[in-house]
Amino acid sequence: MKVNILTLILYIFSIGIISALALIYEQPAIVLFILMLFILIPVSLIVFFNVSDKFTFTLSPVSDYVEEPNSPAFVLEYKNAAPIGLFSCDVVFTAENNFYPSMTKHKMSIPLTRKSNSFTIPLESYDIGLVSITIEKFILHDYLSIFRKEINVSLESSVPVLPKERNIGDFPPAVPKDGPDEFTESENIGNISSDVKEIREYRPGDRLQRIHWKLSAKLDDLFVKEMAHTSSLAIILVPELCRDEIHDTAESLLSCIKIMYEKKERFEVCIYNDISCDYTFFTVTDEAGLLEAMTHFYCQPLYEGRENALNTYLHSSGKIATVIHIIGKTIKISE
Amino acid sequence: MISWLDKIIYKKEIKDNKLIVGEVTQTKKSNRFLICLFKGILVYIATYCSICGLLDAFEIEYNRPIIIIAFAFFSFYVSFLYFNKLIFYAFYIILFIAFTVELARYYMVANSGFQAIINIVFEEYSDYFGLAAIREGLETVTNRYFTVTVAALFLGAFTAILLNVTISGYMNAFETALVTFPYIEIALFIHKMPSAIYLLGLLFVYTSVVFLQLSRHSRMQVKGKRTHEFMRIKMRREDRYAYQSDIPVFLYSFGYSFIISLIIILVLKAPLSLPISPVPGNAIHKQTQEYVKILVQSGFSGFFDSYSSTGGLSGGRLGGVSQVRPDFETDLEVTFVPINYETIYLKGFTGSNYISSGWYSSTTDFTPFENTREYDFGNTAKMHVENIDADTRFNYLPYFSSTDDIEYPETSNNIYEIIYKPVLSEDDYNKKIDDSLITDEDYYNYVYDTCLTVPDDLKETLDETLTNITPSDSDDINQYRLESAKAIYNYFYNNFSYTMAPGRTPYRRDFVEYFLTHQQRGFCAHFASATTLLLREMGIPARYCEGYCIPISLVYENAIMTDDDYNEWYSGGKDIDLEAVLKVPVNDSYAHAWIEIYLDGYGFVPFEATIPSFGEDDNDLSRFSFGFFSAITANTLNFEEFGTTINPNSGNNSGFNINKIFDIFNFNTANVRVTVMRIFAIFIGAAVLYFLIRFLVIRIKLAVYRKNNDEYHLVIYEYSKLSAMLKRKGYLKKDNPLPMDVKEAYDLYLANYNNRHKKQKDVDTKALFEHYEKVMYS
Repeated sequence: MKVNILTLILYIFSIGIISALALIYEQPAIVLFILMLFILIPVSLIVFFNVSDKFTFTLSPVSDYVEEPNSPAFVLEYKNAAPIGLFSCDVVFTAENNFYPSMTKHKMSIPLTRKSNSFTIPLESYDIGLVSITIEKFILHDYLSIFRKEINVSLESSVPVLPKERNIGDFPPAVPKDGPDEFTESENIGNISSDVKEIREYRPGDRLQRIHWKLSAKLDDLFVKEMAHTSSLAIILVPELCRDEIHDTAESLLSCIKIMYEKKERFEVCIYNDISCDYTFFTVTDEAGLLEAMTHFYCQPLYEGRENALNTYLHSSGKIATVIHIIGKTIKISE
Repeated sequence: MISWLDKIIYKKEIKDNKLIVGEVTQTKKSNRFLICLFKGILVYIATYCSICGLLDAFEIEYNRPIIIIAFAFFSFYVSFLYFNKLIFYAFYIILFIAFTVELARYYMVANSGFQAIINIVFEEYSDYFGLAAIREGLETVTNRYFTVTVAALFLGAFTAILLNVTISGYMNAFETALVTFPYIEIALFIHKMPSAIYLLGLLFVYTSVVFLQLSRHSRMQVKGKRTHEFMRIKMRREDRYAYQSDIPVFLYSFGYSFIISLIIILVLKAPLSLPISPVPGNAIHKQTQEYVKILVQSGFSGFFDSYSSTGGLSGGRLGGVSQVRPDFETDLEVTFVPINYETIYLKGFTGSNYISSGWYSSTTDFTPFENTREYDFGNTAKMHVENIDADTRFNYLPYFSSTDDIEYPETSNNIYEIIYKPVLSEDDYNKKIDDSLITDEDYYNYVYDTCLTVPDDLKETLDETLTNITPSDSDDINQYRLESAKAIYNYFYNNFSYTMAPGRTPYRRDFVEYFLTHQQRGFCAHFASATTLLLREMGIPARYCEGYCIPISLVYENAIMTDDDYNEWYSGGKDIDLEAVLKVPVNDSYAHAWIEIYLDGYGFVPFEATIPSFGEDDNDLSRFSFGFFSAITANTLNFEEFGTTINPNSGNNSGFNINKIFDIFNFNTANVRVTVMRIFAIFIGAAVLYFLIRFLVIRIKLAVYRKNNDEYHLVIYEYSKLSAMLKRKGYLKKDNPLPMDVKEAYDLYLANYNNRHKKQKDVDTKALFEHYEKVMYS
């Protein structure tokens, strides 16, 4: 329990002034107003002592995710076990977009007059990211704002702000027949499969990636794997968390994921963590998966490089799949 | 400029954090309705209890049902102005117009009612303080029941508007008390207790407003673009937000307040009714009472104009004050024997030369010679004068006395006794005195030169006035002089009026000239000065005098009979049977100015030049209150007009008459229309002036920025101007747009502009906005 010194001084000053007026001008009627001010303090205190510990608070987002340009909002709910409510409670919280850390403290005043009620904490987001809110404490005030009680808590909630889906044209894109990343005639990304159709001798022009090194070593000649074109072939989406192009990357990633799972393609999203040099795979088949992947994407540290995720994946992964590298608005198939 | 900076700071916050706390715009209409209703209840109770509490405390009668209904209408009307932005602006204008027009229509009645209330209050105050005189405000309409009701209506409407600001707008307990408590305090100050129900009502309102103010959830913002339920306040260290209004907060506050107020009233009702002594127990209270007395007696201007330094006499100074403000404190105590019904003059100052709106003594002072003359009317009287608070520069001597006969006691110069020869009738003036003074050449020159001198620039005015005055045709020179003076008096009596508050003489105007040509109303100094100069212009030697007068009415009302022996104080004939020595306290309201006329062979004799008062008001308080309004209406309204325009077409309902349409608003009086037009012209003029000043201030600031090469502020100005233009044209829809939003909108605007016009605007928006951002955010 703490005292708001300024309010108390102001209150005592008011009583003093009115008392002085009553005494100097011998006005008994003014005594009414002094008495009124004196009575208010015990009334306020009695209610405050009995009510201030009867509140419970919960915090939750209004929706699971928000799509640009909409803004996120959180709902603060309280329940009051006492029969009487309080007029004023300050909610001290911080709110930030994880890509743009902020130390600004916010204080929101809400009335606690009902048995239970909910208040919206509206935020206006101007970029994608994981918007989170952390309530640090509740400050309950008595009716006259002379006394206050601080309740320290740590209520947290977050909601991802997703980018708008972008038209990325014909996706998955057709793979050119004559080129460095050439596939067979009917190959396109959707038909890529990791199944081996046959093993044949190496011919000039075959990709090094297709060389069956084990067999070649055994037979002392070069053999390559001919892959079967089945729908079970995996696609890996590797987005770069490049600081300068994070918004466009997220937009491209979201657009790719949505198209892929709407077409019921089999694919995985590989999200890279530049600090631990580790990556996590997400198989997305529905909106929940999309949300999970995007949330995880937002939670990773940003970096300056443009191919960190791709290089790490290519060098360390034993997986055989088609890699789609996403950076900014560029979506390209990588070896 | 500040708003520009705020916007930039706000945008910088968005740019840095990409996140701000937004605003909730989901206020339910039903909630807003209830909150307006609750606030209306508070405004109503406060208005009703303060005004009707005052009226009831002084037992002033009024039409209670009308007041109850009208106050409810005013209160809820003003409280529902806060329902939304449209209603706020539209109905505030209607309220203002209606209030102004109605006040113009009912000005005379309302003013009369206002005066009636003031008169009753002053009467009670005068009784309470035991004041000698009461200031009477002029009531042009005699039906007090009607006028007080109308006045209370206007007072109620005005109070409700103020309370709406303090309650609905700011919810501030101090301001609410400041608006309402003075009404009740007028009664409480002289211990007139209003009914307990009014005190209960006010207590309820104050307690509720204290609760609501400190709850921080009582306000309802409407002035913003949207009807926000959520208030954002940018503090130095943190951002604060508050949900603005909450219905249960009102219900709780009302409940608590009612219970607390009821308990207080029930507990204290009996002690409050106990009698209290009117004598103040401390210096502050006493001093305040003195100020209240001045206010009651002389109005507000009593605090500014003062003759106190001269103890009631101006010493010949003229025109410096707008009104005479006596303090009714005793200046002299005079002990004498009354011998007839004539006023006794005690002369203190004699003015011979009139220069620049003031009377001055002659360079050669003949007063000592005049005061040593020997008079003989067959009687001898003694007068004892004690100067208590009068100007000590003067001796106050009765006619006709000699300074040789003044005796001062050893202890004080302020007490003296004098032997004088009172005049019983005008016939005494026929007994010529043949002494050396009359034949003295210097004195002759003084009489027929100095006392006939008139400033050259006044001659024209005086001659013009004299054309209206018929001079005496008496052959006797002395008779001619006295009758001429009476003719001037009669002229003033028929054409001029007496008032103690004629107003100041304007700068660079002559006191007498202004009085004769413009004012035509004044007090003794005006009449005495003008009469003196008019007589001089007629060739009659005259001079101006100041001192105290003791009319017989004062003797009757305030004289105290002493135990002194009558024969020691008077010997000779008399017109009054009473044989007693009386002590008369003379206060400064009996300070007076009169004239002296020179009678050949006799000398200067007193003459009363001031016309009597006919209950003329000196209601400077009403002029103070309605001065502004009166200046606008400029006497265009009078009650006769008002009376005929209440129902000008009653009994003539056949046919179409355009005036009937105006009758609804009572607009068929040209003067009312002119008045309303003047009021509108003033407000339009004020608005034009405001925009002109604003324009100039911005231009000057820009010039300073350019001179100082202050690129930051210049860019902010340009950017704000561009944003405002795009918003106005509908290209920019966001409330808090970032530079990139403005750029997009500007690109769109340019594209549209170039499509529509042959002349192309070629602006490198990319470079422009890069420059803006660099300057604003760097």
